[in-house]
Amino acid sequence: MTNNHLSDDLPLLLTGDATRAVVLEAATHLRSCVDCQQELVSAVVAHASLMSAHRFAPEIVAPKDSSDDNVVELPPISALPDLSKVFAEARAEDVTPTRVHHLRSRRALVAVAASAAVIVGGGATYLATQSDTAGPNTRTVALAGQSAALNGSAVLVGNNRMRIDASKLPPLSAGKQYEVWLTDGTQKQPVGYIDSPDRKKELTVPSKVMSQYNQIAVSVQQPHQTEYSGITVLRGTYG
Amino acid sequence: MSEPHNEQVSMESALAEIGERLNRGQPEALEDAYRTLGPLVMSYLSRYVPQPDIEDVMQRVFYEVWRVHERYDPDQSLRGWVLSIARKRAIDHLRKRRDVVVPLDSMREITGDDGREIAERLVWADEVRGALDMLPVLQREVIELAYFEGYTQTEIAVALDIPLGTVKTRTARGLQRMSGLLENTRRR
Repeated sequence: MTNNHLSDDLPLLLTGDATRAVVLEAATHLRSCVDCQQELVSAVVAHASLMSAHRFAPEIVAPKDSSDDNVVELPPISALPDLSKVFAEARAEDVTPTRVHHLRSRRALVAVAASAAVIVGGGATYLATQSDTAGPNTRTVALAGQSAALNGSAVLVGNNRMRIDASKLPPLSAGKQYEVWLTDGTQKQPVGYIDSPDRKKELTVPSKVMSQYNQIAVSVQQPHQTEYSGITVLRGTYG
Repeated sequence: MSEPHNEQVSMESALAEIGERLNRGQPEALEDAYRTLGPLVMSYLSRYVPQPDIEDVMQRVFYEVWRVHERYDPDQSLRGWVLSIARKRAIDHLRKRRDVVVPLDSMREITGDDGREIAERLVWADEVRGALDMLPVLQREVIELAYFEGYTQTEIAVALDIPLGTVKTRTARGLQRMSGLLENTRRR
């Protein structure tokens, strides 16, 4: 080992898996190898972070939520206390220019003539039969998830299309699906499933429907479940 | 040292973006902050505040986050700022509870340096979780088995039915990448 870089053996030195011989040989090598010294520093940073996090906050760093191999079941956002009153107060106080712009945009959306909609499959999917007149303007809405690492986004194209990117969400076990909803915090309207393997989906939604709500939510639906499951994994405000 | 992964940049960017919008007074940012940091705040409060009172304190915390949003400095950690508010509101709550006996040790802990240290450790743990989530699944898998399940590398090799050398390589590369991610997070 003395002449070979340690690389793959560094974790052994930290986790206690190394034999006495490995430790002593590694020590000899480390005293003279700058590259391995640098790698050891990096390994120590990660090792110490993992040990500390698991010792003091296991519920955060290692939540027990796996039920199937390679599939992570997300805890529902609804597990958090309902702070809708606080949010409503914040909205009521808001007078920022951005908010004024959003309100005007929303009114403009309402004013656009609605396209006819065909509801397919018990209201799960909308198909617009007539294009709206809005230009090709786009804007991106951040969809917040359970953690910053599990966020998504929705690119709104004009006022009747959206491209959902939920690729950071984990794949679901067989039968379960991610479903996209529009909501105003009270009422919810299903607008389509994210059924592609990359968890990206383009949906067309009538502008009238878009204007009736102001948030996009993505839920985890059980097999054959048509009602909102209550398990929201992404949410963002667009109006 | 491995370069910070682009996704980690976007993860921290997402938090920074929420913080900037919060600072500008956008109410949607408050909801985004709640969804992103709510579990972290819950975890912190549950160490000190009796379970039936947590919802009440959570409301006070996020109401204050909104009320004083202009004081948030977007160059600072949003996690740390929100937890500092949570700590103050938890202290207020414990002091007000004259009708019940609050363990003296809990009061000493949260009002002293321990309270700040625990808040800092929770922020760190959240960053570690975020860095782990950014690793390729094969690297994350062996690291979680080693650090959270107590498996030796030999046991991991047996459990996953892969050569020991593969376990070593994935672990080493995962730790190197994590280090870069974590150090990048701290530089923000």
